[in-house]
This record gives sequence, C-alpha cells and structure tokens, in this order.
Amino acid sequence: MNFLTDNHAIESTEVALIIAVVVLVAYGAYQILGSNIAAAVMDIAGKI
Amino acid sequence: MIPLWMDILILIWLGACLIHDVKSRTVPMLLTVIPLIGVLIWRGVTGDWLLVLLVVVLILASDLPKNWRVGLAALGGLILLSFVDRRLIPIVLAILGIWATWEIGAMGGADAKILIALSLIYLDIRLLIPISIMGGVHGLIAFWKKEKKIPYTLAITAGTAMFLLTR
Repeated sequence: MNFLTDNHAIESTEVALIIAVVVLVAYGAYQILGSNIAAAVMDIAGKI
Repeated sequence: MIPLWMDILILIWLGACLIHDVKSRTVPMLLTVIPLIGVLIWRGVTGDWLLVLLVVVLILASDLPKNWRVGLAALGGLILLSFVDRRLIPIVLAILGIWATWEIGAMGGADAKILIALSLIYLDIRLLIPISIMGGVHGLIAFWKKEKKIPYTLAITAGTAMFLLTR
C-alpha cells in the first residue's frame, strides 16, 4: 500500500508552477474542445 | 449538492492537514487515509462505484513493479472510461493525473490522497482550478524568496475555500 502509506506533503516550487500551467491549459482546452475530446476518449476506450 | 455543514467540516479537515504540513512537512495517515476511505464508501453507496474501483486499482497498482503499475493504471483508466458516465470523464482523468503526478515523485502522497478525496466529494473538475492557481501563486512567491519547497496543503485549503465561496 505504497500510495496509502506515503505521508509526505510537500512540493517543489517548480512543480507547483508546472501544475498550475498544465491544469489551466488542460481546462482551457477542455472548455474549447470538450465534446470532441470526450468523443475521442470514448471511441478509444470502446475499441479496447 | 454538498450541504453547508459538510463544506465547513471539509475546511476544518483541510485546516488540520495544513497545520501538520507546515509543522512537519507530513500529514498523518489518520487525516488522509480515513477521509479517503470514508469518501470511497460514500461514493460506493451513492452508486459511483466505478470511481471507487478506479481509486482501488490505483492504490493496488502502486505496489506493483514500476513497469507494471503505470500500464495497469492506464489500462484500468481506459477501461473505466468506456463504462463511466460522460459527465464523470474529467474527474476520472483528474484522478489519473493526480496519481500519475504522485507516481513520478512530483507530488507528496498526502497531497495526492487529499486531492483525490476532494475530487470524489465534489465531482467537479472546477475545484482543481483555484487550487492550481493558488499553488502557482504560492510557488511564484516561494521562488522569488528563493525557497525550494512549499506546503501544497496551503494551496489545497485556500483553493477549496475559494471554490466553495464562488460556486
């Protein structure tokens, strides 16, 4: 249970900045292309 | 819709996590595992058991050899995406992203568990926006002050409070 037992709660400043940029870009892209992305994901998942 | 008393309880919980994080750079399992398991049980009862299954798969995958765990997580995620309700796809992707961030060592396990628990409670991807912005702002301030590490629970607590006040 590595995931459950890991109690560390710290990030480097660089990681915090990268997470902010990635989440904002991903959310922006999802707002613009949301329905197309959902359809593509469902299509790929359906083929598996 | 989550009742107000539960929002307040969640903010108190996050405050307790923040205090531990600032003091010791860790959050005890009592404050991360117990809430996560509680949320998993609750979501199982409310019928979102596919999300519960995803988190259980990720927890179990974390014990596998490195090459296997990423593959299993990706495969499990894709299979679940084909069954899960369309409105939950962003949450599934967010949970996978949070776990992957922990997996590559970029996020502490306590932060990852708290973020996954919050995602499961609110089932709203917009929760992660203020948290990420607060983390980015805190990261910038810390970078300017030449600090290398930040307690991310501050961003989680402030971001969640902002989300609750503005929704």
